[in-house]
Amino acid sequence: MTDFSKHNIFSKISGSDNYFIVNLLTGNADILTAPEGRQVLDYIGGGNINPELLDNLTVKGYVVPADEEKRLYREKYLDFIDARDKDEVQLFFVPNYSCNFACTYCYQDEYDNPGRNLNREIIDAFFRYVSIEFAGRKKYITLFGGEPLLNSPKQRELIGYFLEKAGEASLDICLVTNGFFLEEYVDILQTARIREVQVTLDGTAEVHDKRRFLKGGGQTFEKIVRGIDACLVKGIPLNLRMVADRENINDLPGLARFAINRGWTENPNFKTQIGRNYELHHCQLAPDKLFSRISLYESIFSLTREHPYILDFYKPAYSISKFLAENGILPDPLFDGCPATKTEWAFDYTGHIFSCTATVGKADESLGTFYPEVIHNRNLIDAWESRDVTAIPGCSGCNLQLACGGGCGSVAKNRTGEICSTDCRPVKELLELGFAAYFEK
Amino acid sequence: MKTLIKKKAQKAAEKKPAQCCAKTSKVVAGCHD
Repeated sequence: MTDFSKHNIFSKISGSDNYFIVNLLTGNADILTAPEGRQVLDYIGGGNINPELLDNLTVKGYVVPADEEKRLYREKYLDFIDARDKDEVQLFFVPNYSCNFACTYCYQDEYDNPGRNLNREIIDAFFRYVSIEFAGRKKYITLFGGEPLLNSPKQRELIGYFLEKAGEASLDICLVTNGFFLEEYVDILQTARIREVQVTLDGTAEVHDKRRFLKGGGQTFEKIVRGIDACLVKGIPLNLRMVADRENINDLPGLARFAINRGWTENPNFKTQIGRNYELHHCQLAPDKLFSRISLYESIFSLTREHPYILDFYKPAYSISKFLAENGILPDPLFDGCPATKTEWAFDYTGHIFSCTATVGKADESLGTFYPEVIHNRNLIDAWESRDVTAIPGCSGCNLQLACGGGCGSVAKNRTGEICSTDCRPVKELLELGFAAYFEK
Repeated sequence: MKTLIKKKAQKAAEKKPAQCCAKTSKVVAGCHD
């Protein structure tokens, strides 16, 4: 007995008569003509289908025996777990939650900034913990905040010491910074194993400075740009992030043009990402300006059609569409989209351990301490570690599960109170756009 | 039906999960969104 696979993602390509069909379990992806697509729709609804088309669908695993599909699912799940166990772990470290910026959309603005300050003893304890708990695993460290690159002599001394300890442990470092004091830190960064520095610009000068300004007021764009230049000149890889909402998205063409004219996009050490401004921990004052997950990409799609040079600056993923277009192959099935406590951990200067960057700094999310003594809340850690699409009840019947991976555990927990609950991604709608962008030329 | 899978690429490419955080550029938290 054969069935239309439970893992087929089938829909019409945006703005086209054609359809697409994707199956992450069997690794196939096809474009169907309009008549073929209509026949598949009939078939799904219990109607007849051209035998030749049915043969093609069967050969490619879009129509499968149910037991064969279950066997393949189990096999791919075990492959996924095996690969993840060998994957590199990203260890975030927060030296402080304080920041010299007062961004309009900061999700940490309600964080307490506990009185204890970072010192060498805490840094030593962190590296001791890492060497014991993550012995034998590939790993690297990302400095996060607050703002890690504050320009006080004490902070420079501590960041310098941290980088020295990372070097002794042969660990690469990434940094997430607002970029304001990047110029002042380039000399220190040059002495370390810097894998990447992430800096945020929310548009060109006028737009950016209205969103990301200094506490007490003060423009930041020009100084950040000089910091980016300084990194690229010294060969330090730079990942430029734009945090987007309805107030600044129309400046994406301007920012892209700025980066192109400055020569950044020609530099192999330069890459970009666009993040959505969204409500992680608390509501924002003007929620109407926020994009949904799909409306952000609809806007980007329209803008790239109107200003194709944006693609030299930033190529949207549209779920797995870009990967398929660039590699001619589908990625492996994603049984777990949440890296927390699997390939990601976060630590802060108070000695606490957290699951990831979304939970770091929230007292009720602490999973234990690495300082002054090592304590693990095993029940909480177990709950995070158990989360994947096989453990989330809402994922079990979903045909999108192997592209979505259940989404973010922290967002799901904020929404439902349960770690093992869904944070759904609009995979079908993203693929409708992505196939139009990359395959319907 | 027109396949988008290029068999040569399938042999050559190192397959990686679609996970946002499985990228080498995973500095920060694209995973949350």
